[in-house]
Amino acid sequence: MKARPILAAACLGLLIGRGAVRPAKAAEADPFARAAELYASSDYRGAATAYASLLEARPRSAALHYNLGNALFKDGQLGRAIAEYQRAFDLRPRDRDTRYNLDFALKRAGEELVPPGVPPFIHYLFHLIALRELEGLHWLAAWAALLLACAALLRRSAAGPVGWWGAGALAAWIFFGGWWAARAGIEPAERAVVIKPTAEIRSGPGENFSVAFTAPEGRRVEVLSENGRWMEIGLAKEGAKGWILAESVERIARH
Amino acid sequence: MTRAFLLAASLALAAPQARGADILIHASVDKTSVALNDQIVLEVSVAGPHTSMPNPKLPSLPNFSVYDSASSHNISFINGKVSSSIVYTYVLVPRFVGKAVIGPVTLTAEGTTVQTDSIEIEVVPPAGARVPGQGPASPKPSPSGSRPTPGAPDIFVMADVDKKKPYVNEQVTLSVKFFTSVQLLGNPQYDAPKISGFLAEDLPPERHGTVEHRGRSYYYSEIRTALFPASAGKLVIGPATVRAQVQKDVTIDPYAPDFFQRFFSQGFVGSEDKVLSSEPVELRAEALPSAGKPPDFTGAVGRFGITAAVDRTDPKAGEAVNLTVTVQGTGNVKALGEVRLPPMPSFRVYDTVSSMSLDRAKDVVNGSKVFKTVLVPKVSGPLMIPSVSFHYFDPAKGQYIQASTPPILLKVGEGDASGAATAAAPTGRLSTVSEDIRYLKPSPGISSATRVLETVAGGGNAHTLPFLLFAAVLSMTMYQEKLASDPKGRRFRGALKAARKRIHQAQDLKAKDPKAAAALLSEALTRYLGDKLDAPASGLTLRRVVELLGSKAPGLGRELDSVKELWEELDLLRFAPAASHGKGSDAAERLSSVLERLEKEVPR
Repeated sequence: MKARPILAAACLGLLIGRGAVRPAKAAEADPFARAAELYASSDYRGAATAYASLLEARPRSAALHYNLGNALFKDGQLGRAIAEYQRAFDLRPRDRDTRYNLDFALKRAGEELVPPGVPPFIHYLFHLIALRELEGLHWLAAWAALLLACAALLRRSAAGPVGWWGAGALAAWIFFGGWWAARAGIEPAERAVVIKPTAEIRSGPGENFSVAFTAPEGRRVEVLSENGRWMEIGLAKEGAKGWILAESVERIARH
Repeated sequence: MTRAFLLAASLALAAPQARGADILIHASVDKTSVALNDQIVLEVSVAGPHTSMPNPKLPSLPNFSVYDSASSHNISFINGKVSSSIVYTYVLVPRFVGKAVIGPVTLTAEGTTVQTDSIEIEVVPPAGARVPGQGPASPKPSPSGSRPTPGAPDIFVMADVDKKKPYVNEQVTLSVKFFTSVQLLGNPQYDAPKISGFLAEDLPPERHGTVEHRGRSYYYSEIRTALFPASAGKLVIGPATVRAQVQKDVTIDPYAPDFFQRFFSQGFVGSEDKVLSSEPVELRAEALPSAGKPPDFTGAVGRFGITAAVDRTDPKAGEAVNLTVTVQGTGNVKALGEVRLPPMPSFRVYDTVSSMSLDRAKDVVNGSKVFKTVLVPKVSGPLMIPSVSFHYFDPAKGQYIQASTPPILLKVGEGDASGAATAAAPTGRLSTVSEDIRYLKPSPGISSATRVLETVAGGGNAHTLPFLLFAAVLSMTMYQEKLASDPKGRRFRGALKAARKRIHQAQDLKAKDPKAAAALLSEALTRYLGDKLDAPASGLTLRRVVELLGSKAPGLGRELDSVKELWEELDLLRFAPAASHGKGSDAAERLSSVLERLEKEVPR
C-alpha cells in the first residue's frame, strides 16, 4: 500500500509533462540574457553564436534549440534554422511555439509540418510526447508492471490493490510501448536538412554523375547511406533519392 | 538574266500555330506571288521549354530549289524555367511557272508530331525575261556603254572581309558575292566556306544587284556572315563554292545531213556546268591588350551600355524588390558574362536569372542581356543599391571601358507588426506570408518530468533487472506449487530433514528426561520410515516395516537388521528402568547413521 501514492504521483507528473521548470542559475542566466539582447538588437548572427555556445553545455534544451532556430531564421539561414526547430520539436513536440515556427519555416521550403491528409489534431496527439519521453514512460510502466507482478506472485494472490495497479501498469506498458514503437518506426533513423540554397542531387556519389534533381534549402531528407564526401538521401514526399555532397546538408540526430 | 530580289515586308501568311509536347511551330513566307527568277524567304520558328529542340522537317518541294540560309537561337531563363526559340530561314527558288504548294513543315518531339499549314505560292513568268530553258538571253550592255575588257569572265565568286586585323571577339563581316553576266540555266548551288576559329552569326537577307566590272555588267548575289574570332593569331576562311549551269551557244550547220536530228535534240542552246570557288581569305586576330584589363572583365568586345531599375522604391522590410540590370549594345551579346552585383549586406540577395535578345540590323550584331535579381531588405530606413559596373573592350578606341549604373535609393518602410516577411521562396516563386516566427523562449530550462523520463530512458542495462526479478520470483513460485501438488513426494523428500530435527531435540532433552528423549528418537525413526514407505506412522509396527522395506528395497540386508535392532533398543529405552538409559547417546548416533544409509538405499 505504500507504493500507491508514490506511483500515483509519478504517473500523474509524467503524463502531464508540464512540471515546474527548473529556475535558471544565476551563472547561466547571464549568457542566455546576453543572447536574447543580441537577438533583440537584430544581431542575429551574434545571437546564433551565443545560443550555439549555450547548447554545448545543455544539448537537450528544447528552448535553446528553438531560440537558435529563431536567430538562424532571422539571419537568413533557412536550412540551419529548420534543423534547429526540428531538434526542438524532437525534444518538446507539444510546444506550440516550436510547432508554429517549424511549420512556418518548412513552408518556405515547400513542406508542411502536418503531412497532407493527416488531421492536425491527430498529428498533434501522435506527437504529444517526445520519443525519448515515450521511451521513459514505457520503461517506467514496465518496471511497475513487473514489480507488481512479483508482489502478486509472492502473495499468491492478484486480488486487491496489487492486482488493480498491476493491471493498470501492464496496460500502460502496452500503450506506451506501442506508441513508442510506432513513433520510432515512422521517424527515419538518420535525418538531415538541406542547408545550401539549391542543392544538386546526383544519380551517383560523384561529380561525374548527372544531376537527377535539385532540392531547395530547408528540405528535410532521410539519410540512406554514405560514401566518402557523398551521402545518399531520400525525399519521402517526392519518392526520390540520390546522392548529395555531405556539406550541403546538416544531420539531425535522433533525440 | 536579271534577278531583282527585293525582300518585301514579311507577309506572315497565316500558318496557324500547332501544339504538341509544349512546342510551338510557325511558318511564314515573305510573299505568296513570285517571279520565276525571284526567290521566297521561308521562315520556320520553333519555340518550347527546352534548350535543345529537334529540327523541323521540310516537306518535299519539287517545285522549288531549297537553300538553307540561316538560323537564330534565343534562350531565356525566367523564374528558373527555360524557354527557347529557334528561327530557321530557308530560301526557296521556284523552278516552274504556275501554282506551287509548300506543304506542312513537321516537327516530332517526345513522340508527338506538330505541323504547320500548307502555304500556296503562285509562280509567274519573269517580266521582260525569258524563262530559263526557253533560249539564251543576250548579255546586257555595259551601263557606261564602254566595251567589255577582253577576258572578263562570264561568272565568278569573290569573298572578302571588312577588316583584316580584328581584335579577338570583335565582329568581322564576311561577304561572299556571286557575279554573273550570262543567262543561268536553273538555280546555282551555294556551298558556304569552311569557317573555323570563329563564332558565326548569319546576316540575312541575301542581297542582289548589278555592278560593272572590267567594263562588263554583272548581276550579283551577296551573302553576309558576322564572324567573331575566338582566339588570337592567323585565321583562314576557306573558299566559297558555287555550282551553276550556264548556257552555251551551239552552232548547227543547216546543210549538215544530221541537221534535224541535232536541232530537235539540242535546239540552238547547249548547257555547261561550272564550279566556281572564291579565294581563301586570311586575316590575323589580335589579342586584347593585357595592360589595363580590369579584374572583372569577362570578354565583352564592342560598345555597350548598362542600366539598372527596380520595380518599387518604397518597399517594406522583408518585401521583395526586383532589380533589373540590362546590358545592351553592339558586339557578341551571346558571349556576355554575368554582371556581378556589388555586396549588399542590408539585403538578402537571391539568384540572378538572365534573358537575351539578339538583333542584326544593318549587318551589325547587337542586342541586350537582362539580369533579374530579387532583393529583400533586411531592415527599414533609407537603403542604397550601389552602382553596378560592367567592363568591356572598345575596339574602335582600343581600350577598356567601364560602364556603370547610378546608385538607386530605396526608402524601406517598417515591416508588419510581426516583422512580416515577404520573400522569394527558394523555389523561385514569390509567396506572401502574413505572419512572422514567434519570439524567443524566456528560459532554457528543461521540465523536471522530462528530465526524469529522459533519465529513465537512458537506464540501459538496468532495465533488465525487473525482468530478471520477475523470472526468479516466477520460478520460485512455480517450484513451490509443484511441491504442493505432490504430498507423497514432499513427505519422501522431507523425511530425513524431519528425523534429524527430532534427533537433535532428543539429544538436547536426554540429560533432563531420558525417556522423553528415547520417545523422540523412536518417533524420529517411525515417522521417517512412515514418510519413506508412504504409511501412517501411528500404526506402524516393526513387522510391517520389515515387510514394506523388504518389498521396496529387496537388497537391504544389514541395514534392515540395524533397523530391527534399533527399533527394539529404542522400545527398551522408552519402557525399561532408568539404569539402562546410559545407551541413549549411542542410540541417537546410530539412528543418524542408519537413516543416512536408508536415505541412499530406499527408492521412492
